[in-house]
Amino acid sequence: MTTSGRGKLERQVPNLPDNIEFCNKCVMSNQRPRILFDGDGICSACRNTLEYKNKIDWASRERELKILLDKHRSSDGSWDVIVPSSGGKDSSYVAHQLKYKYGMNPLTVTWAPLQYTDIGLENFRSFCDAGFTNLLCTPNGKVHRKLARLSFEELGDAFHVFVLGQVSYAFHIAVKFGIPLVMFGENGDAEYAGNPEAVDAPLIPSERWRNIYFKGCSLEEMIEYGIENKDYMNREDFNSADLKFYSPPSIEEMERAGILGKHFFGYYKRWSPQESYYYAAEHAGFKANSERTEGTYTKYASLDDKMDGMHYFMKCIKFGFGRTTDDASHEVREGHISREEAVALVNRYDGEFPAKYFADFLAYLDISEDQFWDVVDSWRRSNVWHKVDGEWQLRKKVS
Amino acid sequence: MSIRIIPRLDVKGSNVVKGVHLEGLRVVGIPSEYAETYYMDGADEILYMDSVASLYGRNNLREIVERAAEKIFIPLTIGGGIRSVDDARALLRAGADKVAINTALFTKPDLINEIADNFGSQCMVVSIDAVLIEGRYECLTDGGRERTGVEVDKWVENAVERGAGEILLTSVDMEGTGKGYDIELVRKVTKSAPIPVIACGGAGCCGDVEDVIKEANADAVSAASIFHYRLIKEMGARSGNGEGNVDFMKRSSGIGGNLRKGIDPVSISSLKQYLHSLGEDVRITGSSKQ
Amino acid sequence: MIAIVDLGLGNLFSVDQAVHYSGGKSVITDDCEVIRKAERIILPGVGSYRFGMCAISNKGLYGCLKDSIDSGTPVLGICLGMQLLMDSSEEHGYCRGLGIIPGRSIHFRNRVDFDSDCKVPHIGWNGLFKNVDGGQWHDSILADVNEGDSCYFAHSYCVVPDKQEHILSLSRYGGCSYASSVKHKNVTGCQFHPEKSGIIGLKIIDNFISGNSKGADK
Repeated sequence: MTTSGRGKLERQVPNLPDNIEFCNKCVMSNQRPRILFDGDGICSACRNTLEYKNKIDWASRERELKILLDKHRSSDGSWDVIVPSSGGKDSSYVAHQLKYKYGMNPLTVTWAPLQYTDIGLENFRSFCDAGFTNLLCTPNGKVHRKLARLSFEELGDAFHVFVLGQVSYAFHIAVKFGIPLVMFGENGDAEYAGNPEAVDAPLIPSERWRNIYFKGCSLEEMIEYGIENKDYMNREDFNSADLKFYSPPSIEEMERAGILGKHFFGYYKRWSPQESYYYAAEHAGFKANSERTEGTYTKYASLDDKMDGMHYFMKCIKFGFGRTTDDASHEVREGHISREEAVALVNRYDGEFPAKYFADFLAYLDISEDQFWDVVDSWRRSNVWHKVDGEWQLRKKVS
Repeated sequence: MSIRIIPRLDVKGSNVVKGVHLEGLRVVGIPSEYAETYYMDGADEILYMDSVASLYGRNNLREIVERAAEKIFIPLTIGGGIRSVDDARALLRAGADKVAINTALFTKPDLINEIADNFGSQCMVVSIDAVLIEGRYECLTDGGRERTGVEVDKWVENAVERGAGEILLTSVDMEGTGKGYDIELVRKVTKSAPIPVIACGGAGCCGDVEDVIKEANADAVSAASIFHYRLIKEMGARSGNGEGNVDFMKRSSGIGGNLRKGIDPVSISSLKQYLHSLGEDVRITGSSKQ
Repeated sequence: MIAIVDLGLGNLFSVDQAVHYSGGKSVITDDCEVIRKAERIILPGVGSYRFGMCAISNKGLYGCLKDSIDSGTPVLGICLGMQLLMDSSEEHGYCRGLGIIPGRSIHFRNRVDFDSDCKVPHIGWNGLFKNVDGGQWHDSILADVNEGDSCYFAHSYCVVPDKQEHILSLSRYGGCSYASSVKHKNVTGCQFHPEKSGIIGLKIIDNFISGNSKGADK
């Protein structure tokens, strides 16, 4: 499939700068959607950290958190906060702190990974055993797979279908049970892109997050396009019931339930994936993987989904940088590693092909290897990739 | 002969770090301060591991070793990123007594023979990071990051055949958790290996150390968390150069109680007294004499 | 000045540091003239017997070492250094040594009194005990060391002196009693590493430096 055979559902890529640059402080690329580079070649995420995050009075933020929680804490032990969880280190940290440090009564909700890994299931169970009630939603497999394939072909990311439900499901449950407080972990836009609008915000109001999040394309638009253009998608496959959790509840429903928006624990507590790891290991039985996650250098992040590795691989195909760049940049900003070390890590692991679950991926989407590579190559932008001796290589690497 | 108690210092840059499952680079203190304290408190040896050497393709423990050897007169074992006889020679000349090697041996197994031939087998410690996968113990490399597909049993056999003097056996599953050593793993290896085995990974209290001696016949015992989480309170918030993940260290100094759930910190001398009281043969040193 | 003989084998830095720590002045050297002029000589080493003897031969050190020994200069051999003082070693089949102390060096497993289940190399701390037929400790590097005090060992071979009186201390390993240190006139050898044996080891080094190891006419 070539670019010309593709629809126009993907809307981030066309807005990216042609010229590739890397941040002088961390190793982030200017190809990351929504990131900004200033005149000194420093990215907005670093600026946010230097000028803002490092100066935050965390004691005062904690006071704000307590005020917020005091307002929502139930007096009869009923559920008073929704915590989207995967059993991973970050959500384990958030849920555990809310319950055991701040006396809340979290109902944890999980939007099932496309395909659970063994370590993911083990950690999920350990998390529940650490003292949490959990609602696990497994979407309609037939629907999920077709949408995954559509997302892969038309958005360059099969994982998008997971992302759709991960946020929305939590809010449906919040509406259903009348729980106004929905607490996520990190604010990705603040931590990784330094999006000025996102930075100083304890929450993103419902209307805003509904608009920003969906790569500029609605589910309805996607399905319509798929039905019209894909031989594997037919109208009778999709009924509104099974599609309910892929889109957020209406603004009216959320307002009626008193939901203000997406809250972030990372606003109140300095967000450090590494410290979340230690905390989760100590308190929630979280176990690192026995080997490095493909595409990065760590063993503790995103362990639960076999399809996750392909998400980061496609990120590298589309934008020229992958998981290692994200992780290493964040660690440089936290002062955990030096830029030099980050460069070494990126050049060693970024964009690594996720071989381990490749066969699972093809089977899940019901595509052949040839079809897979056709799609992959259709997403390579000429300003990012070129062929050298018949092999695809990045035009510019960080140094 | 006494059972050896060997504190392990994982070093990144100029700091001692402590992870869980060999993951995470939380700074706990300064190598020279930790090593000297442990030496004065009765450690039988000190083990230094450069925790990110293989990750970054470097090894920079020489300076740390040199400084240590000026004041510390017990054996020093150095590991992390050693790839050649020359690397080993440089460390030995700087004051190391033994080299612990893991990753490089999987591409150059002859290195065991070469180092044993050049410097004696007692100098050649084969370091094994073991993980339990589907009922079998497998070796990992690159700081516990890459699988090899090689079973621990077979690797031990190979090491012994080539002239290794000792095995440093670390359970990555238990490491940093404080849930105790992997008794089955250690027992398997101590039973089959005709060379000494140093058990490492998982100690959370004195009882865990006794267990691995009594039930798994470890010749020597290495630990980190139970010693470091005590020192960090005493030493206060000091890192080599302010770099690294110092969040934990900063908020831990001056705090009472256990810093980490599941870890009952203890001094080396107290641990030895405990073991001695249970009839174990350990070298007891007084505060100002051996 | 104390000459620490450099055979290119192992950790000399620690020996040097231990001497300094004990107040001595030392130099690491393979220069014959420096060795001849030294007031005391330390011969350290780890590893292969053959490498050790080859190094002595290639560096032309045999003559100056023998001359210094004959003239009564106190000499301390450590670990392999001690084993090289013997007539020979069975390492590599047979390898000739310096022949200063009658006897040989053999592998633990070739001792008939060694427990075959016991692990080799012998690595760790082990106690020193007096040999009733041997020399007095107070007159040696072991002055003020208590019986049972531990030092650090790391070896697969042990020495078997021909004469009991040359055994200064015994240690137990694998069910057998073996010579952990030897002494013959002005030449002393210790199988253990005093530079790695903590406070006791530093005491031993101090004894050597300050002259408690003399035993021969100079």
